[in-house]
Amino acid sequence: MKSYKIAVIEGDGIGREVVPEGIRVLEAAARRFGISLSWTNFDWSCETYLSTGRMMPENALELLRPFDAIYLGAVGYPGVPDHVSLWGLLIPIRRGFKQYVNLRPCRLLEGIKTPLADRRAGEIDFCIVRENSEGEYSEIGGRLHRNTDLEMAIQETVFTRRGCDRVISYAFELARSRKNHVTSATKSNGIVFTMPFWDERFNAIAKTYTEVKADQYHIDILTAHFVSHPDRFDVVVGSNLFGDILSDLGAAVVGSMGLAPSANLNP
Amino acid sequence: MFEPVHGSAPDIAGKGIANPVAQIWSGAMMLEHLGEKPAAQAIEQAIFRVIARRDPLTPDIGGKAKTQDMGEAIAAEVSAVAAIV
Repeated sequence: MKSYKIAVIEGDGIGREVVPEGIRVLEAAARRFGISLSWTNFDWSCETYLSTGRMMPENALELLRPFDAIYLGAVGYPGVPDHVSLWGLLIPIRRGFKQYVNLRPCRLLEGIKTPLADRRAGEIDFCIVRENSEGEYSEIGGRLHRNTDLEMAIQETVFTRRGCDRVISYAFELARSRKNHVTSATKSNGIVFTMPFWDERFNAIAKTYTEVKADQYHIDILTAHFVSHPDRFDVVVGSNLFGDILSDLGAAVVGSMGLAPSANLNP
Repeated sequence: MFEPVHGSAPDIAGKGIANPVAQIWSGAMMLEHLGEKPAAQAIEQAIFRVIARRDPLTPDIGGKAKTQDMGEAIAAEVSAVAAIV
């Protein structure tokens, strides 16, 4: 019997309510398919932060390393700023374990009403591949002249060739197992250094997948197409920020945030 | 790491009405990642079947069921589906 060790972080709010249901269903599947799952709970949350000053202990990544996977609910709580739960837990785990792909399927299911008129189940079925380790969510930047009229803030965006290539390649590999179509989210008309670089890498990788259709849209018109023509998409690849925004839009298009799963992967 | 796209939803926390499907589906993605594709597919099919028959559903997708009712219904479907395989 195959056995897997799973680290569980229920987190805050409804995370504590939905994770037990996830475990219930996974256990039912494990029983029927002859798999053994062992669950270890880590009580890391905004509540932990309020009592200890940290979302998770300093050696958290070492504690998580022996596990085959991490099963997380949700983190965030009124009174604790969102950047604390994000930078204190989610991002250290994603980056610490080099989970550079955030995969978010969006599929309109039979029985679900979409806010879009005249769309039926099966018509909308695409996956968002979000870059998950660099991009706009950087720790490079700073503030100057606080609380004066000269106040300023700078945040640098980081696009590396390796970072772009690996997530774009993943998108093309995924498309080969689906409908052979990859769409790139860009904004190279307005953001004149990083986004043209992203386009260059996308085009270079697209050339090595001749059987996969590749196209690209600027993020502004792409969001409009998600609403007007969601049936056109198969795999949509975007930077950390664009992928983040598109995946919430995608979840809304297929009926409910409550139906949208995600995987942080180090393929 | 496998997680729903949604957040902790403090506005509905504690009421037992959150939709567990995103969490359960994330679990299916976890099993697929671990190489357990048939088990992952059985969970996805169970989710699709419960939603297609629209019973039980949580309030966000037009029902009146509790989080636990939906979890139990999907778990029961998983057991039933797998028995046929």
